[in-house]
Amino acid sequence: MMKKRLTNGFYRLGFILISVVVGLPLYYLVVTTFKTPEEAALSPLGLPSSLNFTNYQRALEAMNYGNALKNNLIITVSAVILLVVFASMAAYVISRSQSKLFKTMYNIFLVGLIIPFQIAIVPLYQIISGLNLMNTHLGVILVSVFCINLPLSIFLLRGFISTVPVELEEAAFLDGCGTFKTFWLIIFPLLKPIISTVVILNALAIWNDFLTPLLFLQSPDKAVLLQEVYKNVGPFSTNWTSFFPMLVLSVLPLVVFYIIMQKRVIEGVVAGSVKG
Amino acid sequence: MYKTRHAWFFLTVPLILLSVFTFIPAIAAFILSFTNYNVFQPIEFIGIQNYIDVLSDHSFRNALSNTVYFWILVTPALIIFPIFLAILVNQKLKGISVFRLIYYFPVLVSIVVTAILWRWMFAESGIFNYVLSLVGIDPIRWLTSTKTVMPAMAIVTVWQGLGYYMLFFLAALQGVPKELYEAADIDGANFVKKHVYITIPLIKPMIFFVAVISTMSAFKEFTLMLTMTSGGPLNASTTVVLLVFKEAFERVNMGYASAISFVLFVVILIITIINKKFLDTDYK
Repeated sequence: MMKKRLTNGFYRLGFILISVVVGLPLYYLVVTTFKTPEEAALSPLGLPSSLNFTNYQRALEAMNYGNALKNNLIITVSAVILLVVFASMAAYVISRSQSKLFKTMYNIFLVGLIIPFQIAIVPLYQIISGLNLMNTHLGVILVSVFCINLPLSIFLLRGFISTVPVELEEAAFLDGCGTFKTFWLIIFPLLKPIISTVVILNALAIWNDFLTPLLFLQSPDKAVLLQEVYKNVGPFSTNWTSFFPMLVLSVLPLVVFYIIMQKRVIEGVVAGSVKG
Repeated sequence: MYKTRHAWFFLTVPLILLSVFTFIPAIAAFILSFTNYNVFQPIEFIGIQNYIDVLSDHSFRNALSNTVYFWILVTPALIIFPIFLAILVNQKLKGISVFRLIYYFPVLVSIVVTAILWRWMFAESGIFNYVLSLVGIDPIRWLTSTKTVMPAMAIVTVWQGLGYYMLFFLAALQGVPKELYEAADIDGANFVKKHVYITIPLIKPMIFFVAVISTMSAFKEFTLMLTMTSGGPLNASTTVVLLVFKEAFERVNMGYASAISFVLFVVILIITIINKKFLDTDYK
């Protein structure tokens, strides 16, 4: 009993130490946003003397926050939906088919996983402008889905689908369901745990992607949050207590999303890899 | 059973779009790597000249050695620390989910935001030097000295990656039978022994999997360096992909930039093939 309490105490100490190391940068970020420049210089790690939201007000205006947030949401939500639909359908067909051709196709998808997307930036740029997708959200969405995130999603989904028993589908086929109906009515609902992994991983990746919007969205009214942050690095370089709230504001929506999804994040990863 | 033509219907759209946005650009980039394309002049084929130039290019060698250095600093740390964290977080204790949340937090922060934040913290009069001054250590020129810039980048990367890889190991730990630990407890094994002899061997496939993905992302890293130091001082933090980016968009040597990226692709491919065996054991 004594020993048990001792090890628990040891664990707790470990938790707290690591939390301090991991959390320090974030603590520093958040407390600084409530300080005046003088206060921040004098005691960088102290708690702010008062909860002062003027820094946030200035940041919201300088970032054009509402509009940038809307752009981020449009891109992330549409891209994630497209990814879930296409990746799950492709993964299903690949994992159920016996033919060599489909196995080869899976390997083709996987090559997409290894190619660093930066290799192809120049031709990609020309393709996007050739298709008149430059400076449109659709262009960014298509690049995020089909150039960056699709292969990994197919990879994760295929691993999971191969553990789903085939008997269910056979029954559905006998009842006269086509492939399409069988997939959406029988298989898709069973994929919930891995779908939540795919949704979370991709939502994070797309929300935080900086390079794609930087390359393909030029007009200010289409810009995403990170572009707004980046745009203000220079103008606010001397006034960083006003700049730090922008960093907080760009992460905040994801934090909310994560807290809502938290349980699923861990469940999903567990489901995805243990069965995989 | 399902019909192949239906299967084709499922696959056609993603295949076409994947071709348009990934394979065609990649093939075009491969072709460009044999030309002197620089936007302003007409394209001319120059054979393998670009590749010869890359291999004898001093700045490419420098970038490659920086990248390998970064990889050596980052990948082992991103295996060892997350395993330790996962073991800790896997304990059934009160309030464990709060700790999980804290450790996962850095993963939510974009690399750009991370880079900007840490640039402030590493500054001459930044928070790290402030803490050092409290214990009487002279300030360190974190990002402006060629010696410390890559370790500084590695610290940032490890900070950000800890929680991400912790989740993978946490998942693997769920597959370790509890009885083994109970048996070890009866035999009087301590914390270290239990995990060295039980946990590590059983989560080996996941260790290799994490090694592969963290290797790939270490070799592709450039946003962090671009936003923190632009590759300086004296190119000490210029990675290969950052060099590609600079050649393509600052010096507009598109053909040459493509050649560099294909040399990198071959390097990544070789590492991946070496590890493919382990990848396969994990995802069957």
